[in-house]
Parts: sequence; structure tokens; C-alpha cells
Amino acid sequence: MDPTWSPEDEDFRRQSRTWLRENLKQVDISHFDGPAALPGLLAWEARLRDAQFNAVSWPREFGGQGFDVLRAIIFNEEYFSAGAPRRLNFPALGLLGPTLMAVGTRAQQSERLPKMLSCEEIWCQGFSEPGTGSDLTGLKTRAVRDGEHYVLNGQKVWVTNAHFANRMFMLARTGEPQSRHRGLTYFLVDLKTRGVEVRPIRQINGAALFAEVFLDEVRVPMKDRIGDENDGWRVANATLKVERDASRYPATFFEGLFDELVLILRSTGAIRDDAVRCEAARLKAGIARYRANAYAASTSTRDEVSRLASMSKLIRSTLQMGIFELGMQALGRRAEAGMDALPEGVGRDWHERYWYARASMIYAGTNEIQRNIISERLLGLPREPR
Amino acid sequence: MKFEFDDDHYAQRDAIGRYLADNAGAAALRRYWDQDSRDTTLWSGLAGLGVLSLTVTEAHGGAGMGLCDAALLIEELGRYAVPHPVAEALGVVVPVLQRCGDEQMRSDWLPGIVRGNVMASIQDGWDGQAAWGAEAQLVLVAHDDGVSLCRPSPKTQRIADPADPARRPARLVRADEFARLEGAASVRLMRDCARTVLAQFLLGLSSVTIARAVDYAKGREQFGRPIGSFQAVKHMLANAHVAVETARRATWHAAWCIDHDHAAAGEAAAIAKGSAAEAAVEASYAGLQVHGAIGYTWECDLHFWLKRIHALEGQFGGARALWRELADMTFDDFGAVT
Repeated sequence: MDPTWSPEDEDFRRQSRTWLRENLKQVDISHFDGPAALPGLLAWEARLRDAQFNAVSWPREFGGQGFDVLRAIIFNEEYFSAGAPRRLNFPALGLLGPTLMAVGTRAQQSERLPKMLSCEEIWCQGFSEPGTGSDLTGLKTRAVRDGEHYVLNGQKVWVTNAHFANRMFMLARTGEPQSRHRGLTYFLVDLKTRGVEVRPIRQINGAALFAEVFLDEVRVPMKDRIGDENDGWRVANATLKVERDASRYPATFFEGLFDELVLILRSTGAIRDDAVRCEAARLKAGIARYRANAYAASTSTRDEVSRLASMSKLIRSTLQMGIFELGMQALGRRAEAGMDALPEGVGRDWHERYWYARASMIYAGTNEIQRNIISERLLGLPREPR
Repeated sequence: MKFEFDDDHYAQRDAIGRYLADNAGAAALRRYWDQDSRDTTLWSGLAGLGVLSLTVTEAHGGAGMGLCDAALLIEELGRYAVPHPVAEALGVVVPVLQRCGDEQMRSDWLPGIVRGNVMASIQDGWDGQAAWGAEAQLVLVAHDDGVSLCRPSPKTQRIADPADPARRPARLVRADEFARLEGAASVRLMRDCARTVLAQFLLGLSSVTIARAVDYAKGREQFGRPIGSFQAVKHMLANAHVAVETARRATWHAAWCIDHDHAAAGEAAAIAKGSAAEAAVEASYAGLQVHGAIGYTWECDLHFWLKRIHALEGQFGGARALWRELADMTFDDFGAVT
């Protein structure tokens, strides 16, 4: 047990911090959403690529930097501390890329992975459907084999990153309608293919970061099937597991939010309220626990620690919302009116970001689904009636 | 950076766990509850296995280990709701005497603790109470003016009708004091050690409470199926489980900070105890709720664990008090507009 960093690690942290600070000044990432954001994000990705910081956790053989787990943690901590933007191609970096490395063919790996890193191909994920959210195994989009192609028909929804993406990885049904998880296949779809239509969905916070995708007689070549026919559930689960992994959100993400919260509490005077102070301290303790558990999950080889990963999504979303909720309470009636009354723009976009953060309790398996997983797989309780 | 213990630590915990499985647990606890037992065989047995000498320096016959080395073991003591102040002795009394006491105190008391013929306990203020306070040979009392070394006398107050009779709580009074460690540093160390150790013990109590409820929910059927299949039941247990699992490593961090005399020890110990107290109360709630009426009976062993949780939750600060203290450490002023 040694929760300290070596001098070499500390040097690396300083170098990362300096690089991030200097380079963030050089790009325009003031836009958050819509086509206006794209040039700035592409420029930022180019800088990360040139500096060999664009895929720190990917193995070298796949074009990444292959940092060991500690260096990857340090870089991610600094990345979030610096206020750097969400990665343009995050569904590819965090989900599809690792999935292809695990179950793709050599040809699929060599064709796709470099284009993910260059952002020539920007990806979104098509799992949910109008009738299929938490119960993903009931999805209805059909894929029928036709010679060297599959023909896809159906509809995907809540497709995050679709406004930037030109490709989508998705699940479709190749088996009988009632085949549940046994009749699904995993495909890569070029969104420029004839028969694909992407319609942005305006969200509760006014932004449009996800979309509906309609598929009408869309022809997908054989080579873009990942894994075997009807083996898509296994392939997708490799992805879902990565999506729930804690390492993508270092503790500094929450510490940065907490610092902003404290500014709001000071600025509004709420910090003089005993109940608010106690709740803020409680959140601070939650962040400290998160940090300890993230380090344990990354540096322990004991089996029981892998169980922490199943909890991380629940912990993360609850902690994040706790911070935003307290800020909203402190802002009081200002939360409705916009933040012109607070000096130096403190809390200006808190309300909008509150809604953005609220999504974390719904996406990637709702928190209720997470509690099912924890109670059934970790505690061994019987499955709920299905 | 390595946030994990070695295999040796786990092996040591498992060895003590096997001993406790044979010598402690529900049947043993019932004797303390129903027969006012003063049996101290368990204390001597654990001393014989080297548990009480773990943190004592080699010069006084111990193994010279730190609080970190004892973390897993202390949680194991909690799992069996060990009634005697074993965790308090090895995790609080020994480090405080070693780091704040003089050589005379150390040679007076440490060898006896190692041999198992000195029972040592702790008390949170003159209005607190010490486990086995009337039977112990040494009780450390932390208060505003320092840490008092006390021994029980006829003036010592036995607590009538305590929440957990197995703890045999008694209140040492000022007249029981025979020596004192002056200064804020000793109070701070004792407080930080106690919070960390009690947090670990609480997590042991909590994980067994949850495990008992899980077992019950698997077997108990209503509406034609096990109640553990209902989301209202399983989500309650999942939440308690997450709270316990995530608090554990906060207590390890606090133990490490204390061992290394780190400036963050006070904060880390408050976080550890506050987190464990919240998790324990949640586990206690879920444990009883899942058991339903059967858990509400004297006959069901569950209440030994529940009542120990509630006896320890507020010792050296409950969650609410600790969050307030942590707030005062974090927000030094009352937040004028910056």
C-alpha cells in the first residue's frame, strides 16, 4: 500500500499539465454544440495527435501510446483539470476501438483504427430503439443477408455524437423476432449510405447532442460485420463493459466541479448555511472515496476489485448530480433568471450543465439497471421476473 | 502508487477469520447478551495469535507494524462483532502510547498488552463510555485538555441498560485518571486513530448485516417468488453494498496517512469515519427492512450487529458532526465573496 506518486510520475504530471495549458490557448473550443464546434475540436484533436497524446491507453500496436495504467491516470487527471473538451471521437476511442481490438479481424483493425485516430471516421453508437431502452435484447431493427451484403431496416434513437459522426456502430436482429440476445449481430454503418437519415433530437437543455437514425434498405458490406452472425450480444458486451469503466472519469473531473460549486456557495453566501456546509463536505468525502476506489481499481490485481467497475457508473452519476443539486439550491431563484446577478459570471451555465449531468443517470444503462446488475451479479440475488 | 495490500495481509486476515469463525460470532455473542458474561477468553485467544502485539514496536515484544497493516484484520473483527476492545487497543491505545507517551508508560503497559493480560480500551470524552471500561486495566480518555490514562475504580460508572450489553460500557471519571498526555497532538492522534479503526470495524459489521439480509432475501418467498427478486428489495441492498464497498478504501487511506504522520490525516480520518457511519446506518436500515418482522425479534441474531452499529456510529463523531468538522477544515472562512 503506497498511495504516492514517484518523482518520475510527478515529472510526467508537470509536463502534461504544461502541455495542456499551453495548447488549449491555441485552439478555439468556446463552442459546445452544433457545426460551429467542429473546427475547434478537429484542431484540438490534431494537436493531441501531433504530441502523441491522442490515445494514451491504446496499445502501441494499434497506433496508441500504450501508457501504463498509472501514466494514463495521470494524463486523464490533468486533462480534466485543464478543462480540455470532451474528445470528438469518444465513442470510437472508448468503445468501438477497444471492441475491435478484442474481437475484430486483423483487416477490420487495420482498416478502422487508424481512421479513428485521424478523425477521418467519427463514430456514434446505435443501440437503443424507440421500443428498446433498458431491455436492449428486445431490439427490432432487422438485418437480412443478401449475397455479400446485409440489408438493414429499422430505427435507432438516443444516438450520441450523431451530429458530428459519419459512421455508426450498431446492433441489429439477424435471428428470429423472439431470439432475444441470441439473434443479434454487430455492424458498422457508413452514415452516408443511401437509405440512412439522421434527425437531431433537441434535448431538455436545448442542445442537440444526440439524434434519431432511420435505416431504410441500407446495404452494409459483409466486411463491416463484427464477430459472427448472431454473436452481437457478446461483442456489444465488450463495449458496454468499457463504457461503464471508471478510468474514463478521473477524480479531478469531480474536483473541478466541486471548486466551481464552492465559488457558487461563496458568491451566493450559501456557504454560511450550516446545512449547506455539511452537504458540501459530504460531497467532498464522496470525491475522496471516488479517488481511492479509482486508484484501487487501477492498481490492484485482486478479483474483488474488478467488481468496483460495476459500481462506478452508479457512483459517478450520483456524485455528479449531488454537486449540481447543491449548486442549484444555492443559486435559488437565480437558477431561473440566468446568472447576471453573480459577479464574474460565477454559475452562469450551471443550470444548463445541471441538465447535461442529469443524463448520466439514464445513459449507458439507467441507474436502476445498474442496481439490478450489482444485486444480481455481485450480491447473487435472484433475477427479477422477466 | 499501489492502492492495495499484499497477499500476506489477506492471508493474515483469513487466518484470524478462521479462528473467529470457531470462537466468536452469534452463539458466543448471545452469552454476553443473555447471561451478562464477562468471559475474556476471546481477548486472550486473540492475544495468543499475536493480534494485540501487531502494532507494538519490536522493542516491547510486538511485530512493529502500522495501522495500514491492521486494516483488513480490524474489519474482520467487526464482521464477528467481537465484544472486547481489541480493535481499540491495537489501533488506538498502542499507537497513542508509542507516539505520545514516555518510555515509562510504554514499558508499563505495552508488554502487558502483548501478553494479553492488560485489557486496554478507549473513551470519547468525560461524557463518553469505554467498552469493557470497568474490567479493563487501562482506558485512554480523549478530551479537550489531552489524553488521560485511567484505570477503573469504584467511582467508575457502569452504564445501565446499554444499547449493546456485549460491549459492557462504563464511564471512566476524572478521579480515575492517573497520568496524562498533554497537548493537542495526542488528542488529535487518538481521535484520528479511533475514527479510522471504528470506521473499519463498522464496515465489517455492515458487510455481515448485508450478507445476512441477502441470504434471507434469497430464501424467503412471497407472492410465489424469493423477495430478493423484487427491485424494491434488491436496490436497497445494492445501495447499501455500494456504500460499504466504496467507504473501505477511504479507511485505508486514513490509516496510511496516520502511519506516515501525513498532514491530511485529520481530514482523511473524518472522511473515513463519516463515510463508514453513513454506510453502516444504511446497511442497518436495509438489513432490518429486508428481514421484516423476524428481524425485529430478540431471537434473531441480526440485532447484535445492528445494535453494535448504532453503539459505534456516533463514537468520536457521527456522520453529521464529522461533515461539519470537515467543512470547517475545508472552508476556513465563512466565504466572503471572492
